[in-house]
Amino acid sequence: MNPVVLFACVSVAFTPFLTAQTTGLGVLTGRVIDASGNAVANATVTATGLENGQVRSATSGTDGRYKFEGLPPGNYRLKFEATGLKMLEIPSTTVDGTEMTVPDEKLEGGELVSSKPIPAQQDNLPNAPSSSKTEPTLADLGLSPEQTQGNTREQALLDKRTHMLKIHHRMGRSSSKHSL
Amino acid sequence: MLLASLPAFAGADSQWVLQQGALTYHVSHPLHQTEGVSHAAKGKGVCHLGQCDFLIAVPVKSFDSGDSNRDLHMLQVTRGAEFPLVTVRTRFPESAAASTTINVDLEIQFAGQTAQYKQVPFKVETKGGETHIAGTIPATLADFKIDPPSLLTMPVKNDIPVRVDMTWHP
Repeated sequence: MNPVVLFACVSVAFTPFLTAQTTGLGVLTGRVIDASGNAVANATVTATGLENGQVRSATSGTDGRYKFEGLPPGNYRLKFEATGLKMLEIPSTTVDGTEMTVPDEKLEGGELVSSKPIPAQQDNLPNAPSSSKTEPTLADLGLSPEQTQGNTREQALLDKRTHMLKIHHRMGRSSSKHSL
Repeated sequence: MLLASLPAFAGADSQWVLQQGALTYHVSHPLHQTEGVSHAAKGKGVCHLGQCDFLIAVPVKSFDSGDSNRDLHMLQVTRGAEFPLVTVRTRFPESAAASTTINVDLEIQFAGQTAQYKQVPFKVETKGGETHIAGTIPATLADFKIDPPSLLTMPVKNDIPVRVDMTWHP
């Protein structure tokens, strides 16, 4: 099986904020792009708290952006998955309760260059995966691009169809009332 | 979704391919019961150094309830055009697969959301070099943030159990 295009995650920005009701929670935002710098939509981003094991997931939009809100301060492992692309994991990323901005990370040569320090002893992380190289990927399953790629336009048409059917249903009930 | 029995030579790497499978969802409405089935699942498993990783993917569009209008509505409600696949990932020790019943943790991605299911039981039966897996995933609409669709102003129930029947071969 051909190797998939290297998948890279870029531009992870941390924008923690404080609220009157929930102080100290963080916001994690970022953007997912491919080796060509194009935004990757429908990528699944999973944030796993290394201290509390909490798992949160988000899906990138059409602009490649994703967002986690209300993250308790701590260290998080980030996993990025998208159809047809290699999974990428950032072993540890720190979220704290203060407001901060992290500069965009640049993609070079198809590899992620991270400005964040990578723990020297990753194997000691409690939730470190045993081996990401053995995990099957969607590319291994032989699915067609039509089966794996989302189509927001088609979804919009489906939404419109449902909306119109609801209107027709209401009109039908309204007509039957008046005819009685 | 799940996984297979031990390979012939325990300890050696092994790969498994989903030969055939049927996933059936069940939706309950006060006036009506509905099931939709898909036979389009694809899956692969890899056992390495005593650990097995499995991945199954099912196109949302492949589910057939016998009513095309209902299927289109399902597709819209689950955002199946925007998120066309249901994916299931699981990892477990290779030794755990020797039993006739195996309990595994599942990570399911559907409708743009990810849900975790702990210790879901599956029956395992090996025959003629193939392994048959059967079980039910206790999924709910709320797990995937899906608004319950309504029929005649009555919403369907939150529970949408998914029955799984799969045959794997090495």
